[in-house]
Amino acid sequence: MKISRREFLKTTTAAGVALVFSRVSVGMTGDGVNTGSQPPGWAGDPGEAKFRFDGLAKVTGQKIYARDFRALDMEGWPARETYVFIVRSNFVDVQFMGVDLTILPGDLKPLKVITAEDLKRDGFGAATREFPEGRYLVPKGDAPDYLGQPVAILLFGDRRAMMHARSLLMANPYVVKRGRGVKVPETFAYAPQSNIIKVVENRPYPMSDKVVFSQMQGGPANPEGTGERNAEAKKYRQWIAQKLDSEADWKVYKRRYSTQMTDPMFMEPESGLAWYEPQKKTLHMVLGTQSPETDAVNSAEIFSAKGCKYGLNKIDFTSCQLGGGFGGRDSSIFCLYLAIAAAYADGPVRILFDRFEQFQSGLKRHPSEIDLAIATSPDGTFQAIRNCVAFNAGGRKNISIYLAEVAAISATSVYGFPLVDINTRALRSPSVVAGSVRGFGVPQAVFGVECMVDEIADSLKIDPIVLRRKNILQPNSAISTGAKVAPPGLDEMCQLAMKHPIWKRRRAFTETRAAGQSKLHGVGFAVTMKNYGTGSDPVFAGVSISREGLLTVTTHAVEMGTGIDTTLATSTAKLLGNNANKLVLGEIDVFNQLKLKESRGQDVTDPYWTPIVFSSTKAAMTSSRTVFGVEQSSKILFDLAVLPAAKLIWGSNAKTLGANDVLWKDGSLTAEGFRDLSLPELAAKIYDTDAITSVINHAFYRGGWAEADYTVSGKTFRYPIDALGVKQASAKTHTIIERKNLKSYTTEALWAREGQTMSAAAFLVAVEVDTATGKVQVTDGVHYIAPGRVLQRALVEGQMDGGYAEGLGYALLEHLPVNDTGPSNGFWNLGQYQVPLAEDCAIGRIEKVILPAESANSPARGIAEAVSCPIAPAIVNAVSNAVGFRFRDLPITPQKVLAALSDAEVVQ
Amino acid sequence: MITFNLNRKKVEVDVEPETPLLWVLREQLDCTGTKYGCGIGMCGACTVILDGEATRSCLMPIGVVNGKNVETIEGLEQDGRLSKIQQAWIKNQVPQCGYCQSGMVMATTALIRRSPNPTDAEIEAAITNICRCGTFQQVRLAIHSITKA
Repeated sequence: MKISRREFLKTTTAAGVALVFSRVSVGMTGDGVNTGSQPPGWAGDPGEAKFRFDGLAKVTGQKIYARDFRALDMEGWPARETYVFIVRSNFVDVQFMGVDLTILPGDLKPLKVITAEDLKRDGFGAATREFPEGRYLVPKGDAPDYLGQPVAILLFGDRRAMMHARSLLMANPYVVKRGRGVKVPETFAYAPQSNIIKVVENRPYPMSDKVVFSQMQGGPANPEGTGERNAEAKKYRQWIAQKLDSEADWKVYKRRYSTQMTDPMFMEPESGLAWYEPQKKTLHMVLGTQSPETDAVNSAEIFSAKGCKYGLNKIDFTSCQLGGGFGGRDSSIFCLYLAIAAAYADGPVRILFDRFEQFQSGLKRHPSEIDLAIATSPDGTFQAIRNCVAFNAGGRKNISIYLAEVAAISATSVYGFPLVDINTRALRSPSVVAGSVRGFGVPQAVFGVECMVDEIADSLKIDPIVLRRKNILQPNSAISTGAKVAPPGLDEMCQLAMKHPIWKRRRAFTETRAAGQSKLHGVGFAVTMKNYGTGSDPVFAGVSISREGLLTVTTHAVEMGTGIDTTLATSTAKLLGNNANKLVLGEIDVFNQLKLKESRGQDVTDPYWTPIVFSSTKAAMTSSRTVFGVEQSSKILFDLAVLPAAKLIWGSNAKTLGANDVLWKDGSLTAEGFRDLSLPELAAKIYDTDAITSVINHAFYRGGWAEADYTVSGKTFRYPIDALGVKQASAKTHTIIERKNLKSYTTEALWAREGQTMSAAAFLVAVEVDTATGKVQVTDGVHYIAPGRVLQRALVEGQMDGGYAEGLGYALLEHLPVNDTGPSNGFWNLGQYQVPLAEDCAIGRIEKVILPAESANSPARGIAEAVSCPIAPAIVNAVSNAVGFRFRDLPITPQKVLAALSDAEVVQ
Repeated sequence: MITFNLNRKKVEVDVEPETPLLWVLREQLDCTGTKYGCGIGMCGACTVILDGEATRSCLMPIGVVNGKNVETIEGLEQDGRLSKIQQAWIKNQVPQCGYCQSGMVMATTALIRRSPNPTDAEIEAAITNICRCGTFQQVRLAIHSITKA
């Protein structure tokens, strides 16, 4: 199979290098047409899909993942490949003195050994956009920066040689030569740290609006910084600390918690192909990544340093389907080694990490140390919280400071505290590098709080859910920043859980517990919220109608395995009464007709300005952002073409009908007193009158959707988009509709107004603990989510299944040491690292409760990360309930359970 | 030279006998539907059916396969029709990222042939494949939808 049909996504430049993005076709998305390979009958009623488009490709083993492709699959590439193995260090306390390859027999010797000295000599630079650290290989004589840091790149003539050599080299600790000992650099916090200080007067709860100090009033503050505002923040931090130590009317709980390093363990180890053509100064790359644009830009940057021997004019970047990601393929440095290896090879190179290498080098979930204090009134009213979360980011900064920032927002979990002092920070350490694994720091930030709430409840002899409800944030109440963005559903989930038979069993378990039982039972609960979106999200979306009434959705977004294609194909139904018949994903060219110009500052006077034109697809954006864009184009097509056409058909009696007077029913447009009109009939009228048949828009979210006035045919509409183009039936291209009165939010809007968007989730769970083995088994549970408007129920449920399994592994099974016995030693695989199997997951006994949307206008919230956040603390609370011992360190292994049972601290 | 039947067709490969079947399938025969996950027989992404038995191909030396029958995901579709298990997988929206699903489908195929109406316990014992997207519930629903049909 030659990859000749690809979807071309985007052409842009970075560091003077042209970047051309394309994507391997899968199912319906194809080259922009329905390829016929999607299963027939996918479409259900309007707004519903019977099954996912990409299902067929995935159950027939089609070649869609990066690991499946070889050079001979790529059109125009030489077929012969060079194979790559990266040698890594497992020490940071001695000098690296080179690699010793004498253990390799002659036929396994590498063709080439690439070292730091080669990179320096040949002028490779450092990628500056997200990876400012450089040092992609350790120079001889230096100590490595972190465990698992690459020291050499070996090129082999064939796969067999690489694999045999890899086995020999990874098993031998003397391959990487050591020099004299050196002092390991001190740990420090990457700048900036995140701090949230909030002080509200007129306590107790419910809080008044009399906020004395918060982010909403003046933006973020740094108590350790200079200036008047920071000094004020420092004053309040000290004041809160003093009250936590001395307030006589409070009960203050101070505890330390910890969470472990885990591996995202996506099923397809990182793999890729690359080919550098020196004559054309072109680098071709094929890989599966969650951040194709970042990867391509970074690859361009390392070639663009002054004096680089390898000139580069163009990167031809092909993305493949992802065999899992969960954040572990977001801003992974893998791409840079692929690019470097390609430069030194004579022809295409292929990297195929095995699972040992993936454990050794892949991005990890940050381990964290949590120092938490919560103060309550004797009646259980929360008064103050201080939550300090230190994330071990490992040896590269990566995106850890942003992760800490997001964690800070959720570090009060879902409760109202009059006094808040949050500090989250990403620590530089010699550990394996951490990244944006599912939850983006929030699972760590809420873990201590949700466990401590149970401890406080037991201490005060209050039901843990009653205590939660006493302090829980109501919809649109102020979170720790002061922004009134608390999501709906938090209290409702608590109420539902309290009434559930599983929760009622908790009391019975406690009362019947006796010494000598072989099985102990416990019940736990946790409720959390997680923001969604990335903060600054641009969307391109278009909808068009054919003369036959067939709808086409066009967008820049791409399918990453999250079901975005299926979701988008059904997102026209709300406003146009029918599912899309055709999808064009990853399209950029048509949107170039909008002539947008990008700059970071505010330039509202330029009619073509927007803060960000385009960004790569992120899973969190599917429901909340991309669907929004498609719905705007659908609405505009309805306003400008479909409704006018209906009124023409219905005649003069329909002259005063508005959008609120009509209704889509079974695919037809209906209005009282008029005959039903099918979409094909409406389309024919639209074409006969040369009306608008295609709408393209650019929407931009940053603390709110940018909005503007657009005048078409003498009528002015205000739409929440910042660029609009329309095409009449007879026209070949779109005409830009001039925008007026643009309202566009600044970066500060994220803080200065209700810019964050939140989703709520909760988990109620029962566990059984074997007192002989210490093994914990989940027996049953209920998983709650408040997604707002559900776009595709099956996809929401799929995310709940995944979030639950992932959280269960986090609570009970998964653990990687951060020192040199951890994954950097090259011996970690699924033999040591346990992930949940079906037998662990109480299949069929985890009820899923999807709360109904609050209203017809509810947003479709991002939920993929939200669903995973309450799982681990709920399980920990259940095990603590069963064993009578407060577990504060993840994961709860059988050894920890047995130790606790032998020296139990009775808490009930 | 090693000879075996792959999806009902005879194939010959000239490789070292200790080469894992998985690598022969993917690299020599371009049957990339069978996936690499861990290389130590733990995850099940590489599951194929060898003489009727679900087998982890990453640990199976090709020398042992000589003269035997191997079925992979590519061989399930016959006369243009997906197998009932593949159809059930699509209908029940089992795949998310999909990478482990070839192995899941092959393990299920072997199970259903051996035990057309498996109990939950039999399913749990036979389908020990890892799915990091957590599709275990949908896998079970899909299997029951076949057996109830």
